[in-house]
Amino acid sequence: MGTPQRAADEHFVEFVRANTAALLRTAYLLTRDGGEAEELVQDTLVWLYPRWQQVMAADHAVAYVRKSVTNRFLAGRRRMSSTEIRFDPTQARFADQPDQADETAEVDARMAIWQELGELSERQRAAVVLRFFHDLPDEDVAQVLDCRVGTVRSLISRSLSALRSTRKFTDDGVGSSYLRDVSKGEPA
Amino acid sequence: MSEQRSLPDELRSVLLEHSFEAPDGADTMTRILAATVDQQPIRRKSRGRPRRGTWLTAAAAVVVVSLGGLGIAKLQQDHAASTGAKQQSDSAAAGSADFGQERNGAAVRPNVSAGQENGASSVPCVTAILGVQGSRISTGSGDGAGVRVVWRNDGPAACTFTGYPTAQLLDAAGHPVGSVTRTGRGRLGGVRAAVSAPPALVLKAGQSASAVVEWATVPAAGAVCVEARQVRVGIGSSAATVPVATRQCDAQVHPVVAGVTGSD
Repeated sequence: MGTPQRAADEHFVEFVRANTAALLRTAYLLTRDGGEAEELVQDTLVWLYPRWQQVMAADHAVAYVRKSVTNRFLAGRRRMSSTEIRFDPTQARFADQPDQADETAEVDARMAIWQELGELSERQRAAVVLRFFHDLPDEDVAQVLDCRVGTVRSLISRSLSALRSTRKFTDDGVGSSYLRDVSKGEPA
Repeated sequence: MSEQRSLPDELRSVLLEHSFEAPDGADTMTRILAATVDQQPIRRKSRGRPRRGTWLTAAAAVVVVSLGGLGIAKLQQDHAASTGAKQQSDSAAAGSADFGQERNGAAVRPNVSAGQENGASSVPCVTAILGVQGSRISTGSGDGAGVRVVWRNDGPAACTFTGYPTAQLLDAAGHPVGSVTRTGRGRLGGVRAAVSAPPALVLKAGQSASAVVEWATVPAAGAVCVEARQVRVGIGSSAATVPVATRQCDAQVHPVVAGVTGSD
């Protein structure tokens, strides 16, 4: 066994030990299913293993693998879409629009946001997770999704509009700026 | 009480909370390493539904690597040895965690004697494998803001902790600015008023704990204010650095409590 392979193996083992849990969280937010999240992360890392020296050569190994996880999620969904009957989340709704006067409104609103996230398209949800869970700038999100920055802003703007319907939120700079950018005619 | 929060803040919080519903990384990690480096046939964990694909079979055919002396067990031994050494140094550096007005010197106080609560299998959380996520929070009135950090025990064994996390206000370059006072509770988190000491936590595998750092954005008379751009909060090396935008006056850090809310 050559030294480069041994170094790659050591790096791979350390990477897996240090980052599997974090990757699973991202995968769970994308897939919304524990089993699918495990499968997605396992699938990605096993696929990357023979190519691990490319990962090592990347500026940020975690970002490289996260991009792979996201792309496999989006590609997998495309493959599944024609063969699987998917659960309809609208059937699981038990709460209407939350009442601000109700003390449980806070919990209801959070649940409504989580449910609404499940109804976004996979690409919209990926953009939201990368932007708001990982706090990546739009440019980095665009790189992961392999699209233009304007497309990312459009995806996020539409996602925020959908999520806003779950509750009346205070005006905020993030949402407003996305709406402004999109209304200025950024190409989607 | 219903607080009016901005959508991005609420969204971050919802994503953070639900991210901890992800499966335990330990099993997945073991299966990945078995399928790649160790080349051992393994079984998927059954979750009561059919699985897609045959990735393990394909991977076994593709991966033809002999690992020699490098094994998971060896690495785990190395890790145990290194974390044991770190535990000693962390324990030696531990500061007091009394309530009151002590200025935080970024010290953590692991409860190394808490093994009595959970048997000999527990380790101090400062040496455990912890997942960490931080998020910004604020009061509804806008005159207070802060950071909530959630840790999850991603290791195989329970871990113990009593006291405060390290908390640092940093400028854009990562240099410390100002200090953080340890207090039991505040507007955005901490322990209940009836509690007089930080709780002794035993965090089993997969369980979460959290802490809040908060500050006033509108200075009261005599307040000490700084203009930090990041807040770093950690237990041992498991730290989250959260970007912040507001001015920080009279910053406080509260004890680590069980759960994900930063309040007990």
